[in-house]
Amino acid sequence: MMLFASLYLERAPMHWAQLPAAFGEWLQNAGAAAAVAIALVCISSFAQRSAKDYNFIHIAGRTVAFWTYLLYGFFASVACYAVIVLAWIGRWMGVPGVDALLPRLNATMPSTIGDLILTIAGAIALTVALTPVLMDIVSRLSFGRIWALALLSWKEAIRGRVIWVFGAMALIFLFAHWFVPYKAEDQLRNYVRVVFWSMTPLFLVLAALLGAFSIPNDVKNNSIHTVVTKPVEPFEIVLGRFLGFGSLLTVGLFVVSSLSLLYVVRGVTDEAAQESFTARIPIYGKLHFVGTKAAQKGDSVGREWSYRSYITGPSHNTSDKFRQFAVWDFAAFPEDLANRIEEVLFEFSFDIFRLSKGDAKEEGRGIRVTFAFVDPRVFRSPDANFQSIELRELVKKMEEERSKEFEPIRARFEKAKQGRSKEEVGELTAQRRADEEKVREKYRNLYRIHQETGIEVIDYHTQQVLVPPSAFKAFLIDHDKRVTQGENALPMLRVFVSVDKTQQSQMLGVAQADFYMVPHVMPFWQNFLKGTIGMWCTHMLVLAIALAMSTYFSSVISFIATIFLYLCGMSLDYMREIAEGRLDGGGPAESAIRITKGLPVAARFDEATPMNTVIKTLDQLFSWWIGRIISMFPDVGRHDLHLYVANGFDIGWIDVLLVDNLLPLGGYLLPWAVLAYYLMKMRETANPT
Amino acid sequence: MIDKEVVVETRKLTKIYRDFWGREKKVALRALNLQVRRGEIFGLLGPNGSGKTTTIKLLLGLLFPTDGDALVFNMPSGEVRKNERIGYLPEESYLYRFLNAEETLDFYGRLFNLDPALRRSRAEKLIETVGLKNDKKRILKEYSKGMRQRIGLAQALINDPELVILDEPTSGLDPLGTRWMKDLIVKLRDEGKTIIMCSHRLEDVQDICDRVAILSEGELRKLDSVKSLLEDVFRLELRATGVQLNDELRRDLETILAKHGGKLEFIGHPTTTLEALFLRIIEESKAHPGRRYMPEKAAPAPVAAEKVPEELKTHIK
Repeated sequence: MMLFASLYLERAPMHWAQLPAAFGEWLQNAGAAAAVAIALVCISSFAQRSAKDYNFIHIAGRTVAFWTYLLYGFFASVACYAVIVLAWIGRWMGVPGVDALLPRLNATMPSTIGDLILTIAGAIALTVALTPVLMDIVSRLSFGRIWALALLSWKEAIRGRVIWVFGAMALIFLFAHWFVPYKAEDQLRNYVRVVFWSMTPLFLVLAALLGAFSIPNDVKNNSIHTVVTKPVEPFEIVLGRFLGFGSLLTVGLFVVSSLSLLYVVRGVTDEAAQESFTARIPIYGKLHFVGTKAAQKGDSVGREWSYRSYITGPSHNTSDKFRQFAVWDFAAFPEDLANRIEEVLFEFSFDIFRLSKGDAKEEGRGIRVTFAFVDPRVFRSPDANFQSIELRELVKKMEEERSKEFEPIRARFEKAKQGRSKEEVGELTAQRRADEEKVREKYRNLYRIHQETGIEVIDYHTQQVLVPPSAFKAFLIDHDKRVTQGENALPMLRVFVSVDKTQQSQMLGVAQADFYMVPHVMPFWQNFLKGTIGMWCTHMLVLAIALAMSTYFSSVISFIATIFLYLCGMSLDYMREIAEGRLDGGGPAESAIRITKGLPVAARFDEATPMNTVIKTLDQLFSWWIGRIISMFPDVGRHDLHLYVANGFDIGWIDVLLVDNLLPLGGYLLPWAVLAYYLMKMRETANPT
Repeated sequence: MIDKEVVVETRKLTKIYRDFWGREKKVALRALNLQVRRGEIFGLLGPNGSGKTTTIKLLLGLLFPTDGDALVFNMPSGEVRKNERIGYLPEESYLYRFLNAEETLDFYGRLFNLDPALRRSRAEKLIETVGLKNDKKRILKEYSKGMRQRIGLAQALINDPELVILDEPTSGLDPLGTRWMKDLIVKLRDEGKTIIMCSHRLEDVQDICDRVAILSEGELRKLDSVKSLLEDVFRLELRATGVQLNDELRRDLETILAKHGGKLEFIGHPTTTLEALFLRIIEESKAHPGRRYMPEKAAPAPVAAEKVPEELKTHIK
């Protein structure tokens, strides 16, 4: 079966193993922000003209008793940062051995002692900033008051007819089908896109408006005077508003999503149902290459989109000895697959890069590939390059032995079918196939290899390859003796993909997420609702930013600043490329020189001239600075899960929702919450009269 | 009264408003020293911009002092816990206009973490006290200014506070409402609560305050009991009944006063206040509905102090 549904994820979701590194990076960034904020407060307090004309005392709150210790903590943090600064100066002055004390320039480089120092500095600064907040939360904050403020927000939004905005979705339900052209197979995909894209701006603008206008309006109308003169902690107002508007948006999202789901699933065509009216639970393997220049990457065909890299197949004119393989390692698979009756589904969506341009015979034709599913324990060599050679030998041997056993079966069949009726021949054929399958199963158990050859790949399509459960039974032989930990750990399954010999060489483009196992599926509706959780994360993010902004800025400024941050968050991938120096043509300084000199992007720019050194240093500093401020912007892209839903891929509760959505959301919002806490505490509620 | 417990104290309390760059814009309050004692009605008097409202906002923690201290129940004004014992009625009733009276009191009751039964009973009682029983289901947006001031006072009393701070409590109220408000304030004082109020309406302050502080240009100019401040020890006031004013009486009085070294300045019939007159007319119109003013008839006779209804007498001095 050929489908169009495929999932291109340029950035794979974060998984558990990456969490410690991400947490370290978060400590560095949030801690640095905390240190800067504390330093600013200290400087402003010293700069005040009168002893009591600063709000420092108001933020001390209950921590006054051990204020000194917090101050020591802050100085310790400053000392750590000072070490880094001194190391920079030392490096600049050519002092040997200081490089280890410098943090790495970007996340793609290995960690250094400097990174550890930065993490410690950040952790201390964050502790200093968080202590008064936590003490207040533990000892003073009352859920009853927060709930009262949340209820107030509900009433305000409902009686202010804000809720009517949700009704705007009715326009989509009524008229979207006028404007959404679709082929039968795209029906579900397009409708999912339409409802997700409609809901996103609708809810985002609403969240930003509610968040940005509520507290400033209370201040403007002086309503806040009647609240803060009650035993209400200023932060309770922020939390109450967040809880109120947040729950309102959640309920609104749930209702609108449910209606959208009904709208999307009404009258799904058969083609669309096959494409994406499901939620495949894919198991992805780890991709590496054999026979290419680098093990982590295939060959480049010069395409700008570097998502895929390519392997080439042998032609009749080239040697068959040196073949290239794309190899997927599956660390584990569900053991129940071996006991299944139906075959196990693998899907793939590869790209073809034709070297036979303008050949009328090749036009529109796919290329044929071979999939070899192997238990890697069968190989003598641990090196995948040698394994590919061993594989060919093993397959050849297996086929020779197997065909010997096929011969008597086939001879028996030829003899038996003589003079039989059509029905009887049919029965005999079935019997012959069953006998052959028994032989295949025997050799699968013996060699632990299952190979599918000559599968035609058509580009821009998702195709399927089915593996008999007996192959998995073979892969599980002596499973308890398998080494799963340490250097000698082997994956449970290794799949070698290679291009078959053709008249002229053709190239096959692959990416890690292009080939996956689909052991189970879930219902579409569940996945649709899970997709809205990603959207919910974005709403909470925008609401929290707007509320935090509104504790200091006016309503309009808060709204604009929130939208600005959101838009910056949309271009976070590009900013990451700048921070990691991955942009072709260099940073702004190098680009400026290239433009003025008329140098194309591909032209070399690595001559060691003093001018070039200055330019490279400037760009490095810029990259470093972007790398620091990048964490200020919300990573909105990670919360966009509509591609999963539209293409029928399950959104994993743990890996996608918890690790890649909810935890980063919490990590991003915590510094904003702390900021809102201090801004609320430090501000004078009344205007001068 | 000197021995009574001090509820509010300011020591050299100063507030200077500054611009964005920290430059001095206005000195709203300069080195204010005062004490408010338990169970008194304390008035803050002064023209616009004299620092009355700033003082109140500093006491409530709505503004932070530039210098000096503001202590309420011996706690710094920035301490949130002090608010558990305070009720505050702002100048304008800045309540949430999309709530009705019941919801308003329920909301503010929740902010004090009052349990639901107590919240309901207090709300019911206060709604009745402020005379909004028939309008409790209407949203505040539909209320008149006087009604909003009444519900504002109710929210200030929802926690049964020890200290009630009232900023222009009679602002926007008609004479009847003003009288009702003043009666209530006195009643609260009689229940043992401490009241701080600021007002432009001097007669209100004079009527009900025990002590007043007079502020001008951010500085304290006078602080004492109303009686002490208003008493003119160099003059004498005499009131008498059962005697008609005539020349002989005037001469006799002049003779007696001259004998004691004094001099008669004025003798005549006392006049009542416009407020007392107004209240009497309203009372009469309630007692005799339908009776109209007839231009040909004589204007109502001046009312003697003793003819004012008993419950209002205490406020006419």
